[in-house]
Amino acid sequence: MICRIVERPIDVQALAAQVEEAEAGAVCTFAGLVRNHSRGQRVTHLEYQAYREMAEKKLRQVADEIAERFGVTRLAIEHRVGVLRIGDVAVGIASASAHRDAAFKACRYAIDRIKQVVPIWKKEFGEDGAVWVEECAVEAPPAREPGRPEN
Amino acid sequence: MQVRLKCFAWAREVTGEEEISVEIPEGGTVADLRARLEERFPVFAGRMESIAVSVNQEFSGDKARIRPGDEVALIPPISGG
Repeated sequence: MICRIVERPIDVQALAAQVEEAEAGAVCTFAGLVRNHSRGQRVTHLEYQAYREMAEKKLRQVADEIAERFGVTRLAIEHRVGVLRIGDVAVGIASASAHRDAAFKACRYAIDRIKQVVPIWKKEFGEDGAVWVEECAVEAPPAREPGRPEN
Repeated sequence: MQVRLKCFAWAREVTGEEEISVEIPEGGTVADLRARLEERFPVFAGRMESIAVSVNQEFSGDKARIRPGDEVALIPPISGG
């Protein structure tokens, strides 16, 4: 399992090679690319920032969820930070499993959960200036009452 | 008690620092931290509902206690992927 925040270009085929194994008849990859437009505005480039330690921890949490839900343990996720240009890979995911269904589901679940729980932010730079994009406000799980055991 | 608070994205631009120090009472909670932040940076006041707080790298509700040495961060709405 690979769960990394990186500052270099992401090679999705290299991630796929990391998860391939003889028992896996299916390998799925997902690449999230920097797009040249957003909400009707031209985008010239992006800057990604991460709370690196927590982001990698949350990526591992997502990987654990995928293992539990889909039985997929051959998984690689990389998210890039820093300045990215149009067409650069911002996030790369590769999953491998015996059959295709679980591999597809693992990739889809991974990108959806990254957008919900992993502390990474993008700043869009366009002709009218720059703005931090705010897509998902994270809610804390319900607080446990003090003194009550966890269960 | 001094809390070292990591700031990211929009929150980093508001505070002007990657990490700031915030004084809360001994045994204080995330709610205490939020109240002190709103006093110091009024622009947070209208935005607090959308900003999460993590304690030791877990999203934590307002009742969560903050202990000396805890790693605490402000998490504005995320936009990875």
